[in-house]
Amino acid sequence: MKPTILLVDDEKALTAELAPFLERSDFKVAVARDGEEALALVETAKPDLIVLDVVMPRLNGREVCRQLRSRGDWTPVIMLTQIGAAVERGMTLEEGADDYLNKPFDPFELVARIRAVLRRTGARVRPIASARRLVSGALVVDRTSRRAFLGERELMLTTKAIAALEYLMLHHGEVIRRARMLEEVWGWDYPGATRAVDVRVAEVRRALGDDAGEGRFIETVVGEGYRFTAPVVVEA
Amino acid sequence: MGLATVWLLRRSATGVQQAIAAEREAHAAAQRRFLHRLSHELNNVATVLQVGLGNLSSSTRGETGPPTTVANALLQIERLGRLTKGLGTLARLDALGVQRAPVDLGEVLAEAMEMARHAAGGDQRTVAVAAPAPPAGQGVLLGDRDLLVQAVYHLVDNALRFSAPGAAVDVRARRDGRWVAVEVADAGPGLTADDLLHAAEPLYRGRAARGGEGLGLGLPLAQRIAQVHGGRLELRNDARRGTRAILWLPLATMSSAHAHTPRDE
Repeated sequence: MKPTILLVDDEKALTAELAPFLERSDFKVAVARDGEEALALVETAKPDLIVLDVVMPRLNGREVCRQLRSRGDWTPVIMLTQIGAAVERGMTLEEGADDYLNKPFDPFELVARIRAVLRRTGARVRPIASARRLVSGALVVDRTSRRAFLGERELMLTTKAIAALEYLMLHHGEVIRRARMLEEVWGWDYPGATRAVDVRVAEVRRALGDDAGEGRFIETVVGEGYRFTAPVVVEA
Repeated sequence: MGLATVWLLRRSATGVQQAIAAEREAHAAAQRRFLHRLSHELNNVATVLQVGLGNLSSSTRGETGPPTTVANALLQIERLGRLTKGLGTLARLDALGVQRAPVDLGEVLAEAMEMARHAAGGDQRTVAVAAPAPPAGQGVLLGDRDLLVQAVYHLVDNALRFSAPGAAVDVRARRDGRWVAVEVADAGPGLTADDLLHAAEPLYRGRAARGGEGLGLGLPLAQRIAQVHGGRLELRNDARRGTRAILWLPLATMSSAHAHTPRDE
């Protein structure tokens, strides 16, 4: 059966283009024009995933997500944001979205993200994005205090390195392009600067004692980016 | 004139200066809000166009990818996207959060230059580091390492754009009182009087840059990054040839009461 996507955006011109695109990509699509309509449609359309714009009249995307989560609804959410919005998210934990995509975006990228989130979330459980602690073997990342531990030892990492590690763990199993990481963790978007990502990932690996060729945790996908390969367990 | 009068005059002069500074800041804040809104609106338009073209290309997509016209349009939308995102970053830099941690300036310069070299591609232009960092142990720079890398990157990238193949871009850092000056000098044609006045304004592109790939956001970003660190960006032509961009950043050891502003040379 085709998964149902609830598309929420007040920009009619966008939903008019995006809905058929998603349908052609083998999804069923329901459309809501604002946050209140979205909350109502979640009940009736029972979507498998919600694509949610942040800035909307009446009830904005962040509020919609908070309300869903507070009533125990864990339908996966991909939030459409402006650049930097994902970076300035101390609020992510409370917000509980499963992924973020900056506008403007490549619709093929959105489809890839939808598929990745659906694969990752499967049953409607508490999303990894709202976990306070991410655990992978002896590695523990405490997202509230923004500290990382390997066994008993605290890892001395720069804030950006922790953010990079956190991002890879949140999207474990997915190949993350360096440009994507740069945009979503750093909030930058220009060619050449992906070197900054390599520097931070190398820092994480050094701290983890992870070899670049055969990492226990992080794998380099040549020509593409990085993938957190070890399983990640969510601790609330 | 009695001492009391002098004191009163000085006090009112300080008041006027403060009022002017406050008005400038209010004006700059209004401009940033405008940029933020503009970026938001343009982002929405670009998104609709990009998805629309996605619809076109997905119905015509063959082995060879989208047809040329669609591919060209997509490239332009990508450019529009970079533009709006850049404007958004510029407008929201302070809100994005600026870390204040000890920064190794030598590392910042090395990383920025490597990025700029990479972006410049395999052409003949070179970047030479004259002095990688100010003498050690003479004060600490507190700041956001990644933002500072970004600022220096833009200066080097800009210098490379205006350099002929084979010409060197000279990068050095030196200490000047309570300040560190990161200087990026090129041997290009130099800036016109107009360029010197406007080069750090968003979307300004000098005559020499027109038709090139730049967006007119590098220098404004570098300037804004300097400002959120309590510093500033200075641009001037060198006596012989070329342009010198100087990023002035305050050292952390000063107490703000004793700070002096970087001197204009």
